[in-house]
Amino acid sequence: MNLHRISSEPKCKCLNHEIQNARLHYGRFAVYPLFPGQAITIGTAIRRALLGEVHSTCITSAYVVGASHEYSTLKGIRESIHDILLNLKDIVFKSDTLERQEGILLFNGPGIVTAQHIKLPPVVQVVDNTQYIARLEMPTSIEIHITLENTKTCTSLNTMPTTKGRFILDAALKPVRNMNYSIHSLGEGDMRQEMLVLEVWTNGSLTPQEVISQASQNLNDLLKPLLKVERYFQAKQNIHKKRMFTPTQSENLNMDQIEMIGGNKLIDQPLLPADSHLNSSLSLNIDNLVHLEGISIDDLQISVRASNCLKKVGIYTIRQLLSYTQQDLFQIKNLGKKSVEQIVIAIRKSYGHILG
Amino acid sequence: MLSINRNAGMFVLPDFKQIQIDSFRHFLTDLLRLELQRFGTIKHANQQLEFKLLGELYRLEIPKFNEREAVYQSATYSSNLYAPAYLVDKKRGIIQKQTVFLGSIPLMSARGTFVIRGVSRCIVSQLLRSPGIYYTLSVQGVYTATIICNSGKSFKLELDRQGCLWVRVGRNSKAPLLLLLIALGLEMRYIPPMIVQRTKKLNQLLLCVEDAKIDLCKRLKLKQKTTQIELGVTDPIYSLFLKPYELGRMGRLNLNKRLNLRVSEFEILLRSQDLIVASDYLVQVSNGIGSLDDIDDLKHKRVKWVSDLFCVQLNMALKKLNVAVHTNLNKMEARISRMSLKSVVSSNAIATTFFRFVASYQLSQFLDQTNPLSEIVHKRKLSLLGPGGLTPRTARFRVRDIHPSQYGRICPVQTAEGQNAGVVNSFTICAHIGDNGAIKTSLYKVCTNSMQGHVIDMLPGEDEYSTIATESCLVVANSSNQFQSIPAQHRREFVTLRWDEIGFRNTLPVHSFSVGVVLIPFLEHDDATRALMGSNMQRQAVPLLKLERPIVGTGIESQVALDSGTVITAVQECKIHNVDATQIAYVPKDSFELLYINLLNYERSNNATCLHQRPIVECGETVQKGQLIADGSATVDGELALGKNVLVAYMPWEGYNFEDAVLINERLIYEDVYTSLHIERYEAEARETNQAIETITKQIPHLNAHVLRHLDETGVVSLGAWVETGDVLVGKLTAKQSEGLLHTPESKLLQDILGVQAFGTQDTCLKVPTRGEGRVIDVRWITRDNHLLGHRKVIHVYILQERKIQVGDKVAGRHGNKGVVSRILPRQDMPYLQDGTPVDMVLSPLGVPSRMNVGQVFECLLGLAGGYLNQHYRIMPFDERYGRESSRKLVFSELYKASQTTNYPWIFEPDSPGKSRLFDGRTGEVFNQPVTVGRAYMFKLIHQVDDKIHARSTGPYALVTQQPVRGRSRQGGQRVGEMEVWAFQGFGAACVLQELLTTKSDHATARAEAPNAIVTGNLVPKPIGTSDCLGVLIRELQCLGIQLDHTMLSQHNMIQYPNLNEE
Repeated sequence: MNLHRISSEPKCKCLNHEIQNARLHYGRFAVYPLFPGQAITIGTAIRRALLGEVHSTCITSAYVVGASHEYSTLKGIRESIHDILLNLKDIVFKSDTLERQEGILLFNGPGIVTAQHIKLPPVVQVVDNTQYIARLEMPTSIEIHITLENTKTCTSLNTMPTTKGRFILDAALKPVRNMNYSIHSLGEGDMRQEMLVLEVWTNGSLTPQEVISQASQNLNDLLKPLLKVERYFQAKQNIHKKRMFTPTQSENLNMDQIEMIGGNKLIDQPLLPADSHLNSSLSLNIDNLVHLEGISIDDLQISVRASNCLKKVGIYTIRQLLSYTQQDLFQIKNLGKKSVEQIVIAIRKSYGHILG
Repeated sequence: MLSINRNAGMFVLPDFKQIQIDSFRHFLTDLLRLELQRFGTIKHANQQLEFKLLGELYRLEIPKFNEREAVYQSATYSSNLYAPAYLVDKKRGIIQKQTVFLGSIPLMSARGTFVIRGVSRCIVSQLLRSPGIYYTLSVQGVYTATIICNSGKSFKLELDRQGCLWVRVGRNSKAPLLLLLIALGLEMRYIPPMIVQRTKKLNQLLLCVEDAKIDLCKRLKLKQKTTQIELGVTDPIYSLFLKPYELGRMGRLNLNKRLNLRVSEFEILLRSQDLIVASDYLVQVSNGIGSLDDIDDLKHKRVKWVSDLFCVQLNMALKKLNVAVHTNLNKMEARISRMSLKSVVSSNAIATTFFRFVASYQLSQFLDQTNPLSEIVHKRKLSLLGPGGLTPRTARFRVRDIHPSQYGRICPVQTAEGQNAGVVNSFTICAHIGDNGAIKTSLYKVCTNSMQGHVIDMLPGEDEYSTIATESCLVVANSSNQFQSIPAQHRREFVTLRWDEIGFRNTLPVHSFSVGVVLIPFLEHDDATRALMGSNMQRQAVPLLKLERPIVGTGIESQVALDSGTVITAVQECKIHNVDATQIAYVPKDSFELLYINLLNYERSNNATCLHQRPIVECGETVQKGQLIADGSATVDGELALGKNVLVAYMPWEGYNFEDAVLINERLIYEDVYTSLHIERYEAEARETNQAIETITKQIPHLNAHVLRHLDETGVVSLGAWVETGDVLVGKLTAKQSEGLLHTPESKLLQDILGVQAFGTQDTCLKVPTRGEGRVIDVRWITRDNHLLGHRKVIHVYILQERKIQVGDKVAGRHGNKGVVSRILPRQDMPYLQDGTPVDMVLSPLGVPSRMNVGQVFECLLGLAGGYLNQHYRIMPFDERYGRESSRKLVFSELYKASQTTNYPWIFEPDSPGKSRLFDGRTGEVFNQPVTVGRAYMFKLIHQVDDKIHARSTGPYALVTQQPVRGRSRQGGQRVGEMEVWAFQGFGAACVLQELLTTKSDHATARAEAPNAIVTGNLVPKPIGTSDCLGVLIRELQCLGIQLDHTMLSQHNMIQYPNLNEE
């Protein structure tokens, strides 16, 4: 389009950054100038990335000294262990590292335990010192050893530890509380441009600027595989030309699959890896190849055992199978002599091909 | 509340559990004494020994442990009954006086429940027809007088179309009335000629008394029990007719009232004169003189509640005691040497009678303890079922229907669904029970001078001839025009009257609804059936981890929470000394004594939900009497909090909310919005019988070490362990004399050499069932004494599960809008509002118009406004009394206010008020229509997928039919019913059908072969022969005219087709 009309590259500018309280940051950003239609592309993508992909550090497990299980109580403390753990789960941290960190909470009562009483390594800080944890009503003490992890790298989820008194918190604090964007049109007629205004509310673990850049980085990383796709795209086009004259069953099938991706549904059958087009068996002409592409090995009517073995190593279609030699088949785990024979006969019968 | 005359005092809603407690108090303070006094003196046959009980000086012991401890110990919460007694031996002149133990009586706790063997139970009140006489006209034109007796039995006097008088017992047996009168001993000359004339086949009747008796018994099919014959009961009429149809005191009073008789109220038996007068009146009624009765009217019914039932039981127990004392005295007479009071009185009679009664009586039910509301509603239930009442099958439509006389007494909305509809009802919030079990209601007497108006209690019959208007209309009428006509109730009809003709009005807009129903905001906009479902489903709501009060409520929430007994209030003015998660220490005013209140900490309720209390007072705070000091498991600051205010949108989303399915946001999971705690109890017991010896041990050779890892030295799971499916909770071995071992030669040799019995052991460990993983929070050893098995020990293991909401869980709102979670979407995929907030739940808009529960729309819109304004609303239903469409006006004005304060104009858009534009989270596109969005109060119900999901792999077969058993708990199969079979037939799925009808059903040999084939890796062989259920199918096909049989064909008769598969 009229690239020359845009005087400059789109830029992102922070219009507003408010810290409403320690755990509520608000930021407003403007991205402009953009061509009509681009704003919604970026806006939706960044919204989804912000809400779904930004991670932060939080407490993932805690060891409470003197507690036999979560649902017990400690003398002189107003809350049960379970209530304390729920409070710990909500504590917001600011961390410079993705690695696992340890912290300790020691407090001698009576008094109110808040987040400021957690002793942490220097790379991690508590965002809001006033976050309530527990209240000790008597001169007793409380000791909690905590583990902090970034939810992105966190591994210990959903696995209960065997050590007694160590409790897993399925913490899933999302640093982005809410996100909204609006699109504003500037100029008229051919000069129409769009401005994208992003509004981000975070919980203080990351500033709005940080989450925006982290989300963009994530988006970028997600798009990386698509940068390499160019080379194969050419090959695909060749096939496409030939197919124009012979629309086959497999094409319909492929179109179905594409539609399914668009409709956000799960695909039972994994799509073919792109590079399988290239190193296909030379003995076959390309028309046949396309034809066989969409046919599942289940159509061969081989035994379940053999077909399972093939599926395990990633052979789902006849076309994939044809790229294997008999010797290759013998290498496949659990595939014995009988099964290989069965496969070879089946292929010969149904498709008239002899495996090398 | 209303502006009610100051002099008359403020109208306060009665305590909701009072119906139970008042009754039991009446029993303990009055009836118990009366019954014990009646016990009196027992004299031995030869007048030598005399036993005397001084019943009026009875004494009840304070229970050994309180109600909670009884639950903990799996014991019974009861009190021991003592009374002083004399034993006089006249021959020797010895008088013994002693206080004897009569037995223990189960006590009702302050919450209105009983605790029997660690299980909370509740006795439901029963609504019965009062004894008396009722005149009705049947559809066939037969006039009947039904005489209902004290026991609930009834017989009828009938005037058929020929004008003959009959007495009818049961459906099929009748006899001429004259015969009965003669049998009762009335001489012919005293019988009025009217009755003699109205007798068919007079000449065939035997008019001698003795013959008449026998004839009557034959005709009415009255049969003497063999015991009575043995006892030599001579008068069959007395024992077969008069005694069973005893009127009782109340029956006599009602009979006197109806027939204008003046018979003493202590004449509790039916007399022949009564029958004559009754039949006389029956003839009069048929001639149009006198009036018929409406048998479903509440004035003809009475409530049988705890005190009545306990009184009957006590009576029975004392009779047993009487017999026991007699026999003991006899024994004592035989061997005079020892004479002691203790051996005369057995404590067994009272204890076993009461125990059996509370444990097995039909209306003594397992308390529904899902949440505080279900507890209180259960205690306020009113059932027509039970002994002397109806059965769900026989209950006609008429008795289930709402009757005008129930106004303000029985709730027209809340009842069970399905079979028990209209049979199990509920008291309204203003109802209380008066003398003789009549249900009273509070009505406001309207006077011209508003200062003289006051609240009075009305019995069911009293309000029939007065004019009752609903208060909602009165307010409107009063303000606008004095002479405006308003609807009112008069003589069981709805009429329109002038305003100044009104005598009474209801005290509250929700005066005639029950506890569950009044919690529904905007109730007046809901259809009755949906309101019914709404009130029933609130009782199934699971208490959640993080509680939240409704933004929109009716204002009754606090009283429900308070009366449910799950919260703790201060019993006296005191100063809080110390607070802890487990107890609150306080010092009462004017005292220095430190007292403690123990709090519940993650205890199990009857329905496996969690009971937990949190203190809400500060140290050093002074609290007044009745002030709230601790919250319960589903209350926040003393208000009921069963669900969560979530952002809902009414729109279709990719078909995932088709047919009441619900789409939810992932936020509800990771923010623990709908997370609940469930505590399950598992029980293991080590028995010793002569066949097998069970031992609890850690050494289980049959199992690998992994599943045994949590066991401690004694073989019981350790506290605080995280256990998963298959883990052993209690290691138990059963030693059995193994038959296989005995017969092997080497074991025989071993036995002979060592002289020991060869025992095989079997692993009978208690294991965690599927989907039962959780944290072991308690392990209890319970010691039970049993007369048969002696001293035995039972282990209870309590496992707590934290359940997040998942696909398949049922959620519901308060307006009967229920659904099942169909999909959980990440928050970025959910539709979002114009301020970027993703919605929490997407409901189907099609669920509203056909169900006619518009209240949910009002609620969710007002909730939206309240959410943005940070404000809670408590709106009494029927607010239309303040003007037309006032609900809508209120909601819109609040929405407008919210849009003004928050500066979000889209909250209230004049073009589509209450709706706003939503965006698709996946594409960022705006949906093509405005969508209703709001904050609704939604519950997670107890019907959770974890408890229900089930697939059968292997499992038992029923012994008789050899078909798979039913039910998830027994690893049962899923029934393939008639219609499912049609589906298989229709689609030609022959192989599947064959498998289902043979191998998977009752084909025992094919079933046995299947595992072998699976293990060896062969194909499962086709079954040979037919199974019985296949036989049924074949018969069915034969009924359609299809010939099914098999014929033998020799091979050369068959045409050989070339095999096409061969190349």
